[in-house]
Amino acid sequence: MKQPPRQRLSFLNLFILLLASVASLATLAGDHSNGRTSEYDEWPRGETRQAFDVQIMPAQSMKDALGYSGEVYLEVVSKFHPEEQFQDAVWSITGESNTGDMISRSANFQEFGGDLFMEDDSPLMGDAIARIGRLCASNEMTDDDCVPCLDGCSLTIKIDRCESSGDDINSSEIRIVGDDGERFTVRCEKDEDLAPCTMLDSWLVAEAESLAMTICPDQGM
Amino acid sequence: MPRPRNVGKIVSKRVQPRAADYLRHPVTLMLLCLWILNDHVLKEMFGNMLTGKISDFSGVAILPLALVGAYECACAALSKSPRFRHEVLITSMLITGLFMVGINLSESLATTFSFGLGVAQWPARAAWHLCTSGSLPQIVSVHHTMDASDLYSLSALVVPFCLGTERPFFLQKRRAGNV
Repeated sequence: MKQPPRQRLSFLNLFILLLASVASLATLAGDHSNGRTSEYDEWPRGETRQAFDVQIMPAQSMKDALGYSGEVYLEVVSKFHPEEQFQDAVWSITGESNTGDMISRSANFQEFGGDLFMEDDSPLMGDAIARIGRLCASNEMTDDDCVPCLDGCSLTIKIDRCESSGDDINSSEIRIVGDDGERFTVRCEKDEDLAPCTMLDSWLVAEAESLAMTICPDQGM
Repeated sequence: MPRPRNVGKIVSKRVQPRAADYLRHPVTLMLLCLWILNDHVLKEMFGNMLTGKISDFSGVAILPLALVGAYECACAALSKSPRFRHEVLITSMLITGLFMVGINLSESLATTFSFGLGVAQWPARAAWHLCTSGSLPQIVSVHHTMDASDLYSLSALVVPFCLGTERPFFLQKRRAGNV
């Protein structure tokens, strides 16, 4: 049987092949079919504290788009704490609103909840939850104890577990929730406009960065 | 009068064919451009049923050609004859077809595909994030929805069949038998 002749390499054909491979890999985007007002982040293995650069978009336009007229709150969650130790963990926020108001708060985590579980004789594990505050409404002053983020703000949120968790991977969530304590979500079906999901995703954007100094009160805060 | 150069000489040079030459066929290039434009521009702008189908059709047409192209380029790099190119082409078309059927009809395969492609995309996303923010992103599954109507895109397999064979192999055999 006659064999086909040997062929030579063509750089143009190789380039087109590379382009086709990249197009195959990049053909589908990340799943943004569920727009949500939360950012989940896994920390580097063994890390017990983490900082986040957080950008919050103006709340009123988001509320208008959602048709929501209630209050909105900013919450921070540190995942997988033993029940008896969750109050050891602390959080702090510093930053500035887009209208120039300074923001600075810190406290311990006050609520224990989330997905609770217990393995054999281990303690009850769950999430340490802190409600940082309510986002100010349009007619409120910043001294009303609300977070002046109505027109958007840039924050640095720090979370410190204040205890070693060995070599475990810790994680956290920063979220904007409504009166019912649930984050806002919107579903975009296949081949529909993804803009509502992308818009809701953009309400809260957080980038993790390492936190060198502890913020625990008894460790030199 | 000066004599023109090369007059009276017969210049003969046998040109070796190029590997994966069908990738530069106008139909392939048009489909590839349409695929990239559709995935990164048209879907963002319009995001309707048509943009979904364009992506499936282009992908089904290009993927077998890319697989045979990779085989031919590997043979060329090793200075070997691509003697199994027809078999590789047919196998690539079968794999592509079964893959489309699987991810649109089987929930477990669809989930595996969404996660697998997310994993495959992660190195490029990680490099980008490391350069821009210094942090590593999470692996994010891609957005894939099972849809049996996507199986219409299997008709696009006619494109690699026509471009990947100089002449359909069954015609080649019949003519060879007539000689």
